Amino acid sequence: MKGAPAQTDVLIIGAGPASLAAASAVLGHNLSITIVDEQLRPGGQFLRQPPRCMQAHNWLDGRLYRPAKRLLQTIEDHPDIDWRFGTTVSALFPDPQPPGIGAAGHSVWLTGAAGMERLRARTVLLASGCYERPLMFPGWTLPGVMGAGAIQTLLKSQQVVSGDRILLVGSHPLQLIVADQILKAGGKVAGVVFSQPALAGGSILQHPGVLFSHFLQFTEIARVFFRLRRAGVRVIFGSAITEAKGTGGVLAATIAPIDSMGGVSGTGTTEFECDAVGLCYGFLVSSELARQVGAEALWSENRGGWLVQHDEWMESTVPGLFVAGEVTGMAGADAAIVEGVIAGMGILRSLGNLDTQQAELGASDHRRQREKNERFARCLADLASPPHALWTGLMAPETIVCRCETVTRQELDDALSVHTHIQTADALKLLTRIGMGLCQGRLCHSTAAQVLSVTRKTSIENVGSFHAAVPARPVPINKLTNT
Amino acid sequence: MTTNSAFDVVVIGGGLIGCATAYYLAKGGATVLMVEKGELNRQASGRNAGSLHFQLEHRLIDHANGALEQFARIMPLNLAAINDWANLESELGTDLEVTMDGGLMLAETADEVALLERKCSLEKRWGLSTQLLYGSEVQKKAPYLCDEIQAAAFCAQEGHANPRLVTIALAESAVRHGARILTHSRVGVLERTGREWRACIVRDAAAGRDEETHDVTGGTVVNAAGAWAGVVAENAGLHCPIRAVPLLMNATERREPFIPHLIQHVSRPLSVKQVRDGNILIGGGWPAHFEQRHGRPDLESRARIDDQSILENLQVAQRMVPGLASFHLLRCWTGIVGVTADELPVLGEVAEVPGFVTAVGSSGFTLGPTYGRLISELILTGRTSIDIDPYSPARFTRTNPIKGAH
Amino acid sequence: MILAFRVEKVVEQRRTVTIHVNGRPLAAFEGETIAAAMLASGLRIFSYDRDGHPRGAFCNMGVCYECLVEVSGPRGSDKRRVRACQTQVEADLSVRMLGTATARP
Ligand SMILES: Cc1cc2nc3c(=O)[nH]c(=O)nc-3n(C[C@H](O)[C@H](O)[C@H](O)COP(=O)(O)OP(=O)(O)OC[C@H]3O[C@@H](n4cnc5c(N)ncnc54)[C@H](O)[C@@H]3O)c2cc1C
Ligand code: FES
Repeated sequence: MKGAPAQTDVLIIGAGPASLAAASAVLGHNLSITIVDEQLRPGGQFLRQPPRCMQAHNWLDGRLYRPAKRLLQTIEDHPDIDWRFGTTVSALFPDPQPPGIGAAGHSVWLTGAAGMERLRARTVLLASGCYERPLMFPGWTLPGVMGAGAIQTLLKSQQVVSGDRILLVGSHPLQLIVADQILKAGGKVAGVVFSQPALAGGSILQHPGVLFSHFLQFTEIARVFFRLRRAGVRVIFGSAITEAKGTGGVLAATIAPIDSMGGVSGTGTTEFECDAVGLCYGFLVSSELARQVGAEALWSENRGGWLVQHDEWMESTVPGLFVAGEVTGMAGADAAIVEGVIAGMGILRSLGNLDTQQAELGASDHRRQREKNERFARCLADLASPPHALWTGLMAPETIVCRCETVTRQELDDALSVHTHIQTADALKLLTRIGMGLCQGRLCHSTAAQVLSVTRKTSIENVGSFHAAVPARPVPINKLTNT
Repeated sequence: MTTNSAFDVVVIGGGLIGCATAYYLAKGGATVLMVEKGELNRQASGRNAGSLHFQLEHRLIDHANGALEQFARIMPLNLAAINDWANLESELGTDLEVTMDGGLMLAETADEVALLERKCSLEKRWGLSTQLLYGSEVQKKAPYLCDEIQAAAFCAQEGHANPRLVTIALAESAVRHGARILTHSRVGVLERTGREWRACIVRDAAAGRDEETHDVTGGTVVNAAGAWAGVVAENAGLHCPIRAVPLLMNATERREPFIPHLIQHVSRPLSVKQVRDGNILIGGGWPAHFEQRHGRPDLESRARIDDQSILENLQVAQRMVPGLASFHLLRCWTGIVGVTADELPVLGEVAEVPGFVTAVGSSGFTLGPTYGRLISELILTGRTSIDIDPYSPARFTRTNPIKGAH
Repeated sequence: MILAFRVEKVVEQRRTVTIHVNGRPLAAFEGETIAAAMLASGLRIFSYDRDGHPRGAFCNMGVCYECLVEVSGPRGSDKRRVRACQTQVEADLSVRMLGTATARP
């Protein structure tokens, strides 16, 4: 083990838009800033960059990417930031003796190629983003069935098209963008299937303010939609995927219309030949590190699961732990940038670099923008989510819920009917092993909680989340022991 | 709310000890109510390492010197537990992942070897045959251990069972024999009225209903409240010197089986085993911390992990079993155990307070089924098949069983 | 069926490296992840689950661990388990898939 742990004034976890915006806000105040990300370059998932040796000419040339790309260009390689790429924050601990005065502290385990290093931080900004929320249906564990985001990041950062014929299924408009990117890269899109009825997009007209403030987003989506149509891509509304078929990997998938109860009756199915399926039913936020130290998080089905609560300076209920970006609720890159700036001001204020008035001055424009973003995000979240019943309605008894431990829906149902005392997600986990595998329950926690809440006729809040345990990511023992 | 509110026995605590007690009592024909303040098996019994250790443990022998003899008084229970575990799966008719393929306690230095030898001869006197292995004999028995181990004490019956399953299986068998279980219900004030105990039960608020309070009566109450046993005793106006201690556990990813034994160390807190699913559990008694509430340790929230404990625990484990190096650490958690000053359990009742029976302490996973069996014998027949006098609560309360009655 | 493929036209000249997957040589480009190299060579199966059913990369962002593989350097040195989607290829890297198939497709 090395000597005394290193220290930093501001530790930022994640290097996506929220992080980069916060770092720009904090720069120039003579504070030490450390940014940690598992990826090898900044940008996060939204601006996932190819490695330097693989420069693509037309990397993310869409209009939607411009503001975030500008931010990335100004800050990448900034010499006053201690960049830690290829590094994971494996755990966050309260630090009883924070360095310096005026702010509560934390210490973290940073694990990377060289092993584990402890770092003490006066303030921490958690900007760890989100990941795809999987919808579970027969065949969803077949190779070739992926998150739409996986298909997109393979393209963005690796210039690999994930299949010969790709079917996109979901409820989020992101799948239109992904389809467009696949076509541009020379791939074929078997179809884009939305769970919403065609008219749902029109209900945005009931929120003219939102339409106006986020005009660019809407016109871009509309433009892509018509481009896909022109290219002959089938865009289908009001249906959901019901099965992925194949043995060594997906070869075909069926979809079926969604009924008025939000379920799928199984009649009127359509089969698509495809060798990759992208799921785009929404996201779950990566709030584990905040929950690990006891920050309050509230459940939101449509905005990403357990969202970290915060005050007007983006400080969570744990003093010294700030949050920005998707961990506060799905809202997209532009909103993440705005929150990042406000969190930056909050950090400067809590470290005493700015007084409240000065910080308010730096934050006020962004607060106004944040309100608009929130309206947009709330509106989009409701529009872009599948019907509630779909989350638990597509599984067959033998469908796997927990991929890591191969726990099926039947096993959950059996456990719940035999063991009537089970009321919480953690108790279900202890008995069935659901969530005990390498992904640490990230993929199955929301479905497990929903199955439990439906069966016990109680709320997700009562069922609770799987406990956010240390380590936040699996970490090899010899990294921790530095041997 | 309850159709019947009078029971032969009210058992407090839905951990392994409470469930085992309820099971044997119900099977013996008693009417039993078991009350658990949270969910079944969610405290020490569902969070422990699942080791079945029958050798004297590190915490008993390290620095014990003269007291070694005193600690060794646990041995009759250990010997009884060997039989209870060998039969438990057939008794309950279910798979509990009981594995009794032997356990090794390791020594690295000459001093440690001497300690191991002293321990083994003491165990022999109590009737447990542990076999001492030296140098290459250790390697032959367990090739996955590091080369530097000088000696190991091998106990053929040691092993492990799965804490995820045992308590729940006992609870369900108890219900099958007619026991009633209330969860999310806390036993508050306990009063003795005539020949009965009256227990006030507070049921948590839940969706659509407020907190509810009601009384039940029992001819006997069993305090099987683990780390909370002191609080329960206090609610009955009694004194039970149980200290709550938070401990750490670690689990790795699943892999192919390669560790068939339970591994312990003679002078460092350590337990290593591989469960049926393939995960390695690493523990041994490294400390965690209580959250503080109003300046006092908070027994109601999860104990906080100590990062230094994790690192040191993993270091010892990896030094003993070098093959662990590349395993991913998957999950760390804490559990709260109730301990006594002399490391022996508290079993039985005191003459001054009839009908208030305590069952708590020591290695309660290993010994829990045995405690349950003995306590049920005591309640149903007034006698126990093993002398439990050495574990009597009277050793703490001989002068002052009733709090405040100086 | 050609499955996944590289978008050659937008990428500048890159150096190639050879890795081995389950003992078979596989051409990859510098900067690629193991997952990208495997997918672009038509390998969709990354492991077999507890029931012997095939699994593939799901999230490509380090969350799902479905792409976990065992890698080692020359002559089996430095054996470790890594996420294929988070690990770049290197010359002479050997990749072994985890788990076994019940019935190979
Ligand atoms: C990390 C760890 C590792 C361990 N490893 C081992 C091991 O490998 N081998 C071994 O033999 N032992 C081990 N132990 C010890 C063992 O787990 C305990 O001794 C045993 O589980 C105790 O069982 P119990 O039923 O008394 O306690 P618990 O399981 O804690 O049960 C007590 C129950 O009482 C309930 N309760 C408390 N107050 C009230 C009230 N007023 N009303 C209603 N309910 C109440 C609690 O909620 C709790 O569920 C370990 C312990 C820990 C913490
Ligand atoms: S594909 Fe999910 S971790 Fe690699």
